[in-house]
Amino acid sequence: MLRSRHTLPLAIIAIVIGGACAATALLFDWIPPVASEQSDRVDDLLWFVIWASIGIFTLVATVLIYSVFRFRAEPGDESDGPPTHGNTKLEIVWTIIPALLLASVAVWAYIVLSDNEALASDREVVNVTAQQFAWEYQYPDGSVGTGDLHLPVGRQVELKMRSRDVIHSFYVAEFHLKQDVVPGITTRLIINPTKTGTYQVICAELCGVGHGVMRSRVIVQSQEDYDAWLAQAQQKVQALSQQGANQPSDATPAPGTPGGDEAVEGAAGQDQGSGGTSTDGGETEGGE
Amino acid sequence: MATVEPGHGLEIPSTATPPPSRGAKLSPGLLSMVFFIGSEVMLFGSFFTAYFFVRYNIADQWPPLNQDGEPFELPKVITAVNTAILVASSFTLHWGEHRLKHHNDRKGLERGLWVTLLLGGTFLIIQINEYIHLGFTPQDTAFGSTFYTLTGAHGLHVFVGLTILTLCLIRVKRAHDFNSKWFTPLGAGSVYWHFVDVVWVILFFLVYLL
Amino acid sequence: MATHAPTHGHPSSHEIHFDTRPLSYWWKRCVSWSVGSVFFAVALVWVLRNLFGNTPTWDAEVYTTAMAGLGTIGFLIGIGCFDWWWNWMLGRRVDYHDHSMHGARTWRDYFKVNTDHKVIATQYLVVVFSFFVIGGIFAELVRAELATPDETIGDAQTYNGLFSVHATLMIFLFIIPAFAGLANYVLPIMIGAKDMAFPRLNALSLWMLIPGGLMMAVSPIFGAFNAGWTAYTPLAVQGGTGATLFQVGVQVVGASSIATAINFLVTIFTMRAPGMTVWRMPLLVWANATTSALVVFGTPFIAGSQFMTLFDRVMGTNFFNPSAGGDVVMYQHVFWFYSHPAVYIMIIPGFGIISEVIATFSRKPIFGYRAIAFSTVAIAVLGFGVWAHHMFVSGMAAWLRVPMMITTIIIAIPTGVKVFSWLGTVWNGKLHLKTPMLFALGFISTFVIGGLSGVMLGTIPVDIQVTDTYFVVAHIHYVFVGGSLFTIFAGVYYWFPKMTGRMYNERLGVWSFWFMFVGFNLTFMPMHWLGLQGMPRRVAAYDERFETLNVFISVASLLMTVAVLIFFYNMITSWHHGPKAPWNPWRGRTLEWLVSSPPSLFNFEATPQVVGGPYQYGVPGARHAVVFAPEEIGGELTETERRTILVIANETVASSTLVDELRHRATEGFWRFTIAVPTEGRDRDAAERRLQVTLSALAESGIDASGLVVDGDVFTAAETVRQDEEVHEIVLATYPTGRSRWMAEDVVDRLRKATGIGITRVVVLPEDARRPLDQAGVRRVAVIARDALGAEGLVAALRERADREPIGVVLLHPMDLDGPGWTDEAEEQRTAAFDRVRATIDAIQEVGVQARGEVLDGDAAAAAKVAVTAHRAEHIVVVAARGGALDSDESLAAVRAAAGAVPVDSVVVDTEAPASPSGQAG
Repeated sequence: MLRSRHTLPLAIIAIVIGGACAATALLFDWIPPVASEQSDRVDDLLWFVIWASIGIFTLVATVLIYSVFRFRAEPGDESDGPPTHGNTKLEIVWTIIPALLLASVAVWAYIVLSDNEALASDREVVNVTAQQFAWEYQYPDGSVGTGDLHLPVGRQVELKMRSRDVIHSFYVAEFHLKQDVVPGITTRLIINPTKTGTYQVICAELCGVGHGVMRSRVIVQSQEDYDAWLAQAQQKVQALSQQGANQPSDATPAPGTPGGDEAVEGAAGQDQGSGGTSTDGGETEGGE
Repeated sequence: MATVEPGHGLEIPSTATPPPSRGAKLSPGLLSMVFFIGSEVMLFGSFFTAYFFVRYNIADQWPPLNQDGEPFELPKVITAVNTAILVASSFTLHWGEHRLKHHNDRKGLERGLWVTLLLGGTFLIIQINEYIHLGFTPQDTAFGSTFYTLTGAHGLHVFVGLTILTLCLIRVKRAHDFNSKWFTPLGAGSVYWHFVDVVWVILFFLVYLL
Repeated sequence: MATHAPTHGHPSSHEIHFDTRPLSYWWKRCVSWSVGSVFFAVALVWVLRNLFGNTPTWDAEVYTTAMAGLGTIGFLIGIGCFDWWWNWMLGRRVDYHDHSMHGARTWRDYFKVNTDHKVIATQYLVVVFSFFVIGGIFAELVRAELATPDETIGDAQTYNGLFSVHATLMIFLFIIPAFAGLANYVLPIMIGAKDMAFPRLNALSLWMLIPGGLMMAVSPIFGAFNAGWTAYTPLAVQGGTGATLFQVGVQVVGASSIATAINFLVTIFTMRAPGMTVWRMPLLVWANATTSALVVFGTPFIAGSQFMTLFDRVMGTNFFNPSAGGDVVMYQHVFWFYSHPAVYIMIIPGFGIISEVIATFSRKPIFGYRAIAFSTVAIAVLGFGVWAHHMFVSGMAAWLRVPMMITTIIIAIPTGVKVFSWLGTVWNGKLHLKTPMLFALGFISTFVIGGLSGVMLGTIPVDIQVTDTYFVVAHIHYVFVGGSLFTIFAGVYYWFPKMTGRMYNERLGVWSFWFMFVGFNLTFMPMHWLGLQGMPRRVAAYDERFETLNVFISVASLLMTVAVLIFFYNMITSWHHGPKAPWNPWRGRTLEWLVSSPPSLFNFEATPQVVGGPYQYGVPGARHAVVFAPEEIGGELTETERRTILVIANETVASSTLVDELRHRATEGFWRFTIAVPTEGRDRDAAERRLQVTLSALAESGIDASGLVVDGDVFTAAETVRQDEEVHEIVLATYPTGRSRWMAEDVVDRLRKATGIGITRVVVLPEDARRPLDQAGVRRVAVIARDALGAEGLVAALRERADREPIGVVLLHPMDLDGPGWTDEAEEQRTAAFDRVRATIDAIQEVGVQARGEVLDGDAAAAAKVAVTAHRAEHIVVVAARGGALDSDESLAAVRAAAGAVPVDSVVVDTEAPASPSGQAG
């Protein structure tokens, strides 16, 4: 009965709705430009979830719209519908299928997560300090780029981030990555930039009056440009330090990371535990 | 708990509410106290969560060092005595309740309540005295904050418990309330008092001893 | 206790002494207590600070905390929430059945403390919708700010305050208490209780909302509550006086929430009517039981988190100060351990409402009742295990992320089960697209979108990308607006007739839905795009490339404002002078529809007895409950306590549809029916015959019914009956719209206006109106006739017969076809036979006798067999045309043989002349 009467109109409605959803998904530019290895992986996963969602939404909307037209009571018809109380088989099916779909999403997400956070041995480490309402980047050899974050393309970079006051969040839409910067702990973010260009760094966690304007730039350069910039920046720093060294080195984290950090890395490299957090000895500095 | 809700007797007061539509097996008064205690457990749970986060997630050592570089110290012995006092008060209250329930002895209940109030009051006084002589304040690192919040919250609960029991005492003395068949407010109050005791025992173990 | 007399404390058996103190007394008292306690707070803090040597003596935050806290208590004492308890505490004699503050008699009673759950619910809804308006204004201000990429209407500080207060009010003072308010009204009735378990606590919960809500609403004036509703530390610690007000306000509102939840739980556990087993509880009751458990066990965590923040701010503790051993991330753990379950607190009652609405307007039992009930509980239990999915980028312990993702994803499954079950309910139903149903269906479509974006946010890598962007803003609004708000609207429209006793304006309701639905989707759908593109949330200034879309969103949001204005206009005008609502305008099956609209002071005159599941649509004879049936209460109700339903019908009066409906109503309550048949200038005898049929059918079923034929129209009929007795409801039976003259003349609305009584319309199909009543009390007479069918004499004979006893007639036209039955000639004969039968049915109907007919291939004996077997005829009359085929002894003998025990009469008529009975054979 279900096959004969309902199939065709259902299919037509499903095609219209599914088509409209698919067109919306494809015609609009939903995803910002991709600029890191991480964003590629996240994209694939996101699209998988989007297509699955379109499928489920189409199913629900189709049944709903069809029912509204097909099963609408005639005016004045006050009779009851058939006393269907349920259908165990059907209920099991619509429990299991979403469960399987969701399980595959979870597995995929897990793989993406561990890939995205896998550490490369030759990674560049940059210390990031956030405060109300500015970003500050510090390179391993002591050069400080107050405004912009310069990164070499094609090489993994690890951001070690601290906050001086409240919670901030380092967010670059093109990298599809984000990490809160929390006072008291050092959080980290792994990025593999794949495209040169200039992108916006946005603070994504409400941090006060200047939250909306707490932006800076990340400039992804070729390795040569990056090296040239680094050398130049170092010269500038040296010139500055000769002038009188009013650099508040006690307020910014020391460039040479404490030993505790290395230990965490060693452990973290083995599994997904490489995640966002490591509480090293650094946070006690405020109390000193 | 064999608390019995009144039926529709004339001499014994029934619930303050329109009566349950069926012969309710659960006393609404007592049941509400059980749920309320569930809520209270969660409140203490949130403070304990804070305590454990601070202790195991952040602190290098516990108790941490004070300004003089020495670890904070908690008076374990006197608190143990205080714990015994509070636990004893649970038994005295139970005795009073027992007298009422099984012997319809309102005088016995009154005595039990008096002793319980005395013991609970002693506990509070010792606790306040402890605060005065601890040598650190809620502002002294997160250790002080969690310690004072946990013990302070408990102290407040002891105070509330004492208030409830005092009110029960007033009902007994002035309104000649409660008998072996109906004593819901007292039953609820005593459950609350036992709960306050249990929380203290856990707190004593986790904060002072562990 | 062994026995409880069901009538115990039967409130109507008491004298109820209403409190007579005027409104002004309470509010003067309230103001003086509030002001007094605020001054007391200032003095107390001043003394204490001087005593302990705290410096500075004047610390705004400390004073604000004390003033807000003690002011709240003063307000509650002043308004009278504690009066009864105060007497109890002092050991005075108290009346445990004190109903002096129960029920509203004038509008004034709505402005003071009341212990009637219905009054409290109304107060709840008015209060929360007031806060909804304030929150909505804040929302439009937010959209005004975002219409340009720069800061326009204020600085960033103002903007931060705007969205913080918007979220706070909508969450803590609209959605959560709105559900509490709706449930307050219907839940006790649904389980057959006279009130909540703790009416005075119920009142206290309501009145706590007002100071708590005001604190939050005014916090922007005092500045610097700007950390968002999540109030993350350490930013929240930096805040100013506004933040203090928020933190105290959350405690007050949270306490209210817990008190209500405990009240609901105890009510559901102990106050259910006899027979109301857990598997017979309506799904709204399930939903509220679950939600209440979440509130009771979850809310203390937000209380804890705000206490700690407050201590950090006011007392200088170090919970969240990393430089003194505090833990910043801990705040988020504690906060979300409540606030994620809070999301379910804000949606599960909505699920309950939707289940009620969908079952009622689909006229079908809910599909998978147990699956929905279990999935509700599953969501609640799992809800406590997913909190950290809000914290994937927060810097918490990394190992916690994957388990939290898995639990988050698991929770999507029971949610999906619910959605599919609703679809299963809608499928194959008889959908009535009234406003509540529109909101319910709109809810399903938008909530699915919100759920799916929730799965995306639960997927860690995607969450890392889109969290804290407009994607999240879109998601929460799809869940809270497309989810919770739509269900609240559905609920308010659905129960509006029950609460106010008046119908809302359906047309305006439909308009408000479409404005809401379209405006909502246009507003929030584009936000998904903004979020993916990288527009962070909670910013007053944003990148210029997002400008066009933001302007679009700001404009679209105005549509929702229009919808809300229509809603308010509709509610206020309908409440004031809408048409009177019948007891059960939607044909709902749950208990609240079996009592009057609005229900009486204590809902039920006697304890209802629940006898079946709540959604037994389409199950013949099924019923959910019996309300005040005499045998259940030991015959205590007197005759005068019966309630009268006036039934008005003309040609439809003897239809089985109407009789079934009346039987159904009779099983539900202690009803007496008065059936009035207006003649409208036509044959009075016909009307009397029809009425006789109905009355004897009802009498057979033991239903107390009387009837009268009134010369005149519907209005005359109603007036005539109302002169003699008080009518509580009118049932009007008509043909379907389009075929009914009454409907063309708009009789329902006019009658409602004329009488001021709620009207239920029963629609009777014309076929049904003429079908012989297949029921006891009506004698089923089979008439076997051929050529005699057109004769005058037949009709006259039947009319005479019908005057003696109620009969229903089956006309059987046997055709002894010679030769094959498929020839053109045979076909012509058949057509002629049909015409004859039809004409005769009309003629019989005209005189008020029920009839239907059938043409059979076969002889009279075959027709007799059909009459006995298929139509269960109790009497057979063979009407033969003189000299016709049936006018023979053989034929009659064959008929007798075929009829068996059923008596057979024979009538011979002249096809030209009037009938003349030729005597009976045997």
